Amino acid sequence: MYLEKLELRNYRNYEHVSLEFGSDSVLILGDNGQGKTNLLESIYFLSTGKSHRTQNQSELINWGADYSILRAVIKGSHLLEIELRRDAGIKVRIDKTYQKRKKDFVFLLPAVIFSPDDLKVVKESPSNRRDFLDEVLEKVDPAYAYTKSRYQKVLLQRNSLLKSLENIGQLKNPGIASTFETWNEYLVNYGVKIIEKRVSLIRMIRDKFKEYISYFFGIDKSDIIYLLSWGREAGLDYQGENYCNFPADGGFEYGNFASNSNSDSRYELDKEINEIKEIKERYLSKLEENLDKDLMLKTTSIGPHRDDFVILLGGRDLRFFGSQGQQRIATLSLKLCEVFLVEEKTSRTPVLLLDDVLSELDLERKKLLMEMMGHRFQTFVTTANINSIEDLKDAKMRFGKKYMVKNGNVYQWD
Amino acid sequence: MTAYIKSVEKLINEFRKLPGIGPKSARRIVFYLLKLTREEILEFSKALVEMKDKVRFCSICFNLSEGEMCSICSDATRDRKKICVVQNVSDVTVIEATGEYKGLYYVLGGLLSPIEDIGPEEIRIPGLVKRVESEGIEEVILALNPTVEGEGTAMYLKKVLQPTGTRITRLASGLPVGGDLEYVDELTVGKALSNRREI
Ligand SMILES: Nc1ncnc2c1ncn2[C@@H]1O[C@H](COP(=O)(O)OP(=O)(O)O)[C@@H](O)[C@H]1O
Ligand SMILES: [Mg+2]
Ligand SMILES: [Zn+2]
Repeated sequence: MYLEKLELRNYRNYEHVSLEFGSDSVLILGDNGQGKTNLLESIYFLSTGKSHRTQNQSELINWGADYSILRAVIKGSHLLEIELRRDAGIKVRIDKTYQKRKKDFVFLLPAVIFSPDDLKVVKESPSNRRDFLDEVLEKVDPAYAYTKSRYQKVLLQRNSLLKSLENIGQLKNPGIASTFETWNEYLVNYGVKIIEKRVSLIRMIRDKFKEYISYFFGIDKSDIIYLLSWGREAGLDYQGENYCNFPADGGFEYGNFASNSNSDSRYELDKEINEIKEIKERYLSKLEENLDKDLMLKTTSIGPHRDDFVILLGGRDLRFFGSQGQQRIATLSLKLCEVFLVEEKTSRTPVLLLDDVLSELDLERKKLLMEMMGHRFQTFVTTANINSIEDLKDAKMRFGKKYMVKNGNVYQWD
Repeated sequence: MTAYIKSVEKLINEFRKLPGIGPKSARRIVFYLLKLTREEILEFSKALVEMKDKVRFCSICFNLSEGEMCSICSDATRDRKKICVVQNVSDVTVIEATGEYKGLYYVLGGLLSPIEDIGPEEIRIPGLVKRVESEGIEEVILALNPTVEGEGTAMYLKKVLQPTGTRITRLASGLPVGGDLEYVDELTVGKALSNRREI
């Protein structure tokens, strides 16, 4: 699967651009602020119906225009057209036929984007890791987005119920309190599904992840583990300092990590999650246990909206004990896992969008990456620095086309 | 809007409050009304007031009614052991149009929603439970939209109705309440009452 033709009108800083590609990879060179990321973003939008940079669709429309049009010809498949308007939402046509529902076009053109921002998945707060899992799941599981949005709606209902319970037993509207149990049960129904899907995602990528880490580092001991919100100890909120209170020698051995969880239930590891029914019961009882806290905070303190995952490298939490270089490679490995999953689950080869990623890797790792991607994918590579690809001349990656981007104009060169 | 005189502008704003009427349609309607005679306008406004004065809600099922009891509740040929629970009066019309259902109704007038401070009392759930108990209802059919609030309400109803021993079913294509409605948007509500399932 590859992108044969891309046409943009009034998209970001492009007034009009029309490009044709072969199945080979594409190099996009340009100084900063010229439109390299915008170009990749447009391809990602054609793939997923959203931008990887913003939720606000009208940002995508050229400042001087009211609408923008994105057009893609997907080899061996379809003509996909998207029209964005400032006032109205989004219109989609596949082969000239308007589509009613967004999900009918999403993933006609599977794509995975690698951007420097991905580093926050590894380095920053749990919400970044949840977003990563959710985004991947939305790509491979058509029902996931629905399940998640339902969960969030029920969560809003429960939270607002918590607000109306002034304190335990004292209610503004006593009748409404009798529905509490129902909302809990309903929340858990969806929450469990999200947990189940995320855990099975982690299980599917675990071996691949280990494989990539050992490929790039020669480190054999790595792992990726899902953490359930209620497994987190009080004070252990993953905000850095608290977490660092662990043994001064830096983190814990992997073995300890796992066995601790049995003895003091510090963590509930996904490895121990055998039956979803088991989680459901635990989840319900944890909700009950946390009721006082929830009433005080007027928000739901446990559930998949507070879950996380941890990456262990040599037994240590990469987030706090990894070097910048290790964190970059782990990020890259996670994204490669996404590629693997998308291929596996959709039986199609995704287009890869590498935004400014090469310049951040050392030569050896860059070569390894190119080696791995080889010519299996149509890869769009952007860089501001020609040197970052010059030294790759002998690597496997072949650029069929090379472009230079300057202030919203695209020039071919060679 | 500044170009219009006050009374016209006011009427346009009144029409804009109606469901499905935007500024354009509101203007079109008002300009149409401007052309009518005084008699025609009186007829129109009289119909509005009469509707408000005459229409009441059935004291049993809260369907629209002209008297104390609606035409369905007072129809002796209906199956009095079945109650179909719906959100709105308009749902009754939809189900009646299928001609398939011969039982009675209960109109909640809303759905449970803590965000809007709507609890069981606000949507007359205690009254429903009382009715099921006192009338020896054998089956309660839940015909609520598969939104989060509709599902939540169905789950709650199931909980409070279970002790009465009545059979609780839902109008849908074999989907359990409160969980697995993964592709609800693909559901056709047309798959109506003959498909209902125990929950
Ligand atoms: N809606 C828009 N309309 C016009 N220009 C835009 C719009 N959004 C962003 N830009 C411009 O696009 C440029 C950034 O492009 P980008 O693709 O991020 O650059 P880079 O080549 O560094 O990746 C900036 O100059 C910005 O002003
Ligand atoms: Mg950029
Ligand atoms: Zn009635």
